[in-house]
Amino acid sequence: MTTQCGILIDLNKCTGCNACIVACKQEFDLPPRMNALPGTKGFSFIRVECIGPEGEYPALWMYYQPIFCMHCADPPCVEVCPSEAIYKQTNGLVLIDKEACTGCEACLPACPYDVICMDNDQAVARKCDLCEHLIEQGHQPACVAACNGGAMTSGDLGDEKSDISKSREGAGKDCFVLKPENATRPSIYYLEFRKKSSNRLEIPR
Amino acid sequence: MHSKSKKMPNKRDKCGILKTTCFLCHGGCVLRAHIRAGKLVNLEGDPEGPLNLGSICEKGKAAVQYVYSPYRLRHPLKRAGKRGAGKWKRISWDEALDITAYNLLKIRDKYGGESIAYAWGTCRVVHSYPRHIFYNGVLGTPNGIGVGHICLTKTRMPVMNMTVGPIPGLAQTGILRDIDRADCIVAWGDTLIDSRNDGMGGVGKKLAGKLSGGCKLIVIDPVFTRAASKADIWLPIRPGTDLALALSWLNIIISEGLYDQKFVAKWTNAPFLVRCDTKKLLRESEIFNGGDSQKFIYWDQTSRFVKVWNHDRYMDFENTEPALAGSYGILLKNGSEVECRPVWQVLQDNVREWTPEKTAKVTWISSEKIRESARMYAGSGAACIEWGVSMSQCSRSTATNQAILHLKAITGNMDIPGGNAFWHIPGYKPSGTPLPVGQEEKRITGGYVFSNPAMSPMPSAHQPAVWKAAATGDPYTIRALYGESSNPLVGHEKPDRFILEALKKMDFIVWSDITMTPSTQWADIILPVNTPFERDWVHDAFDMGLFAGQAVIEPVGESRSDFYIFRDLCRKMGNPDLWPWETERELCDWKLESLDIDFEKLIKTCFYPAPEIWNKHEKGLLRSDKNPGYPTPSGKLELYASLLEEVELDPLPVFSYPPECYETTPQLAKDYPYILITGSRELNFPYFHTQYHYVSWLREMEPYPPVLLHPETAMGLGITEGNWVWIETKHGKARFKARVTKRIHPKVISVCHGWWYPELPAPAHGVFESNANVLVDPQGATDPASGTTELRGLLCKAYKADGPPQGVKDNSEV
Ligand code: SF4
Ligand code: SF4
Ligand code: SF4
Repeated sequence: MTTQCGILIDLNKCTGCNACIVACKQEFDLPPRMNALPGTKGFSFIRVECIGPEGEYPALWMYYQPIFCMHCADPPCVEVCPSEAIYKQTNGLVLIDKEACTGCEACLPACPYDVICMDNDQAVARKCDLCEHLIEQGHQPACVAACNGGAMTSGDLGDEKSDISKSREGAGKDCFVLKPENATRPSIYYLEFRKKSSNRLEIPR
Repeated sequence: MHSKSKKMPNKRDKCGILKTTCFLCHGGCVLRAHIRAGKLVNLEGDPEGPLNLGSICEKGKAAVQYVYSPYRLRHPLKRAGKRGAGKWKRISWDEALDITAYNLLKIRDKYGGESIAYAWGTCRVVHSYPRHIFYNGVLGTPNGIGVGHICLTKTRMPVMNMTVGPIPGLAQTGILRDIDRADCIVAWGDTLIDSRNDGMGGVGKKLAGKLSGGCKLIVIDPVFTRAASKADIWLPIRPGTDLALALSWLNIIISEGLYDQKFVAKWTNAPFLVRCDTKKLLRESEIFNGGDSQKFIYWDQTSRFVKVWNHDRYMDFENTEPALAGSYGILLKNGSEVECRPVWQVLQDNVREWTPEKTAKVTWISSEKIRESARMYAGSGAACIEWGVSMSQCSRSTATNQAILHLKAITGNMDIPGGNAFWHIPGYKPSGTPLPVGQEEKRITGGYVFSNPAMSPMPSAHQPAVWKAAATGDPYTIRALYGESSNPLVGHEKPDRFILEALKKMDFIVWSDITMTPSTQWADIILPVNTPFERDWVHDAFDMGLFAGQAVIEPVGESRSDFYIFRDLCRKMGNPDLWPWETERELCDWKLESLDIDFEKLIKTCFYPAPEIWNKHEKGLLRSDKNPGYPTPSGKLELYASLLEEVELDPLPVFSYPPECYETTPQLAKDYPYILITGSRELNFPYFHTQYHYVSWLREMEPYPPVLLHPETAMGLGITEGNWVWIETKHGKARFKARVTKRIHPKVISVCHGWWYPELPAPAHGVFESNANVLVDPQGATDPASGTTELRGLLCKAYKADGPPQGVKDNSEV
C-alpha cells in the first residue's frame, strides 16, 4: 500500500472566502517581499477560482474552486526539471528542492494546473508542499485547518480506512479530479457542486 | 524517487499557545495564538470555538500583519502645524492626556457637555469597556455620533422596543439566532459569509455544514452573492423595495394560513380593537367613565361584548374568545358609535393588496419565487431571518424592519430553538452611567423620535444634524470632538460637506485609533490604541453566549487600550470614582461577579454559554414584574405599535417607493438611469468597512475600489473590465474600478464603501476619490422615526474615467 497524501474539497462548502490563501501565505511567510498595495506583485500557492457566473441574471449559478499543486501521482513537472530539483517523496508529496532549483522555469509550462510560481527574490520555483512540515507531525495543512467553510479533508488516499478515502468512496461519481485527460493522476479531489432549486440551469462538466 | 526535503522551520516550534477570541470583524472566533519570544507569530482556529468550530477567516489569518503593521500608531502625537496639515510631534502619554483633559474640561465648563461630540466606529477595539461612563458621566454629553443611523441599531432597537419591548443585551437588535437548530435560514439583505456580522463572525463552517445537512437557505439580495450561490431560493430584489416583499410574504403567509395561530391569538395584540375613524387603538377611557387610557379593548365572541385587557395582572383571555376578524360597532362613552376592527383584521387588510403579482412588478422578483419562498420560510420547522443592515439604510427603515419583525412573530419563530433567539446571560453586568440631569433634553436629535430614550434603549444623536451643528452653529455650536476608532470622513455621509467644515472649525479634537486615517489627520491630539489581541475583554453581544479574549502579547509600541485612556481621563478630569477599576481584568471580573466564573477561568475556554431558555415570554422572563408576556405597554407583542401611534406615526408598515426612482422621479431617471447600491459587504469583503486597507494580505484580494456593472450596461457605456469609472449622483461623484459581471441586474450598479488609500500621501490619503459616501445625501429624504437615509437605492449615472485617481498606481490598467 503506497502512501499518497491528498485533499478532498467539497465545492458545496467552499465559500470562496480566500482564508486558505492567507493561511498559506501566513504559513510560508510569503508576504515580506510583497506588498499588495497597488503597483507591486506577490504570488500565492493557492488560487480560488470563481466558476461562473453562468446563465443569465437572475438564473445563475456559480461556485468557488481552490486550486493548488495536485501532488500528481505521475507528475510531469518532475519529468521536465533538468536539475532534478522536483521530486516525488515516498508519502506522495511532490516537492521542490530549493538548493537544486536553478530558476530555469522549465516546470512552469509543464504543469497543467498552472500552480508553480516563481519566487523572483530567491530565483527559485515554489509551490504548495501540502505543508509537509505539518503533516509530518500529524497536523493538517494550514489551508485545511483554516478553511472557513470546513470544505477540505486531508489525509492518505492510499489508506482505505482514512477519512478522505472513505469520503471519496462514498461520493462515488460526485468526486472528480481536474483535467483527467492529462493523466497526471492528481491527489486533489473535488466533490461536485450541486445546484439548488433557484439555479435552474445545468452545470456542464 | 528520493527524499531530500529541506526542513521548513515550523512556525509552531518554541511557541506558547494562548487561547483568545478574535474581534477583527464582529468577532466570535475562538483562536489559538502562537506566541514566540513575546511576539504573535500565528493564529489558528480553535476546534472548541462554538461559532467557528476550528475555522478562521482571511482577516483572522492576516492578523499578524495587522498587529505589526508599519501603519500602526506607536506613540501619542500632538499636532505640529496647522490643523489638518499632517505635521506631528511625538509626545508622552502624560502630556497627551493632560492636554486632552484640560481642553475638554475647559470646553465642558464654559459651554456645557453638549458642546462636545463623540464618535465611535464599529470598534475592532472591542465594545466591552464602558465608554459611556466617560461620555455620559464625565463629559456629560448626549451628542454621541457613533455609527448612529448608519448602523442597524438605530432603527432596529426601537422597532424591537415598540414590538416586543426592551429586552436585555444584543437581543434587542433582533439579530441573534440559533443557527444550530434552524431548518431554514433567510439572509435578508445580508451576505452572511462576507459580512461576518454581529456575533456570527466565523460561522461559515457551521453554515456550510448546515446547508449540506439539508437546512434551507433563502437569500434576498439584488446581487448574486457568495451566499446567493448556495441558496435554495435566491430572490433578486430591486434595491429599496424590501418592504413590498415583506408585505407580500405577510399576505401569503396569512392568507394561506401558514402562521402560528396560537401564538398570534395568545401573545400578540392581534385581538385589540382599532378605531376605523382615527386608526388608533381603542382605549378603556374611550368607552367607560373612569377608564384607563393605557388599557386596550377586545371583542369577546362568547359574550358578544367588549372586554378590557388587563396588562397589569397578566392572564389569559380567560373564559373569553377574542375576535381576530370582523368589524364591530362600539358604543363610546359620549354615546356615539364607532366602527372598530381587531388589529389582525387591520393587518390583513393592510397587506391584502400585496399579491405576489403586484409585488413582482415592484420588486422585480418573479411571483412564483415570492410565493415559493414565503411558503418555504413559513413551512419549514424553525426558521431564522438574518436581517442585514441594508433595509435599515433607507428612508423606509422603520416600516421595513417592522414588517420583517412581524414575519418572525406571526410564524412563531421568535425565541425558539432554531429561530431568532433572545440569547441572554442573566447576571452579566452591563456598565454605564446616566447623563447628568438636563443633558438628555439637549441631544441634537434632528427631530427624530428614535433618538429619544423612551423609544430606543440605545438612543443616539442624529449624526448629520450634529455635523451640521458643528459646521453652522445650528441649533448650537459643537466645539470639541472625541473620536474613538471612527473614520467619519470615510464612513459618514457627505463628508465633503459639513464634516470637513466642522473638523476645520472645532476648538479641540482628540482621536484615538490604531492607525492614522484621513479623519485622525484632523486631530490636535492622537492617542494610539491597541488591537483586541493586546486587550483583556468580555463581550456578550454574540449568539450562544459570552465570549472573552485575552491580551496574548504586550501592546505594540506605546499603544494602550481605550480602557486605560478612559480610566486616566476620568481621574484627570475629576471623576476617579466613576472608573473604579485599575485593570481590564478587574473590569471583566466585576462584570462576571454574579456568575459562577471569573476572567481567569473564562479564558480557558473563552466562552460562557447563555442558558438555553426559550420562549421567555411564557416564563415571565422578559417583564420586570415577572409576569408572562412582553415588556410593552400592553404586555403583548405589539403588531400594531402603540408607541408609534403615540408619536403620530403609522402603527403598521405602509409601503412607499424610494425617494429617487423610476416611479417617483421619472425626470431625474432620464439623466441618472441606474439604481445605485452603496455599502454592500460583498464589495467590502476582505475589509471591515474603513479598516484593513493597509493589510497587504487582504489588500491583494481587492487592491482597487470595485464597482459592479452588468455586461450589457458596461457595453452600452463603452466600459470594459478594469476600466476606471465615474459614478455620479445628483449629490456627488467618485471613481471606482469596473468589475463587469452577470451577477448584477443591468439597471443596478453597486459600489464599494469604506474606501480610502492609506498609501496615498497624508493628510488626505485620497479620502474623497473613491468614497461612496460622497454620492449620498443625509439632508435628503429620511425615515420619519429614525432619520435613516437613502444609501441603497439612489439614482446614478456611470461613465468612463481617464484613469485612476491621481497618485494611484494601477498596473493592471492598460
Ligand atoms: S500539479 Fe503541477 S506542480 Fe503539482 S505535481 Fe502536478 S504537475 Fe507538478
Ligand atoms: S478557506 Fe475554505 S471556504 Fe475559504 S476559499 Fe479556501 S477552501 Fe474555500
Ligand atoms: S470571522 Fe471575524 S472573528 Fe472570525 S477570524 Fe475572521 S475576523 Fe476574526
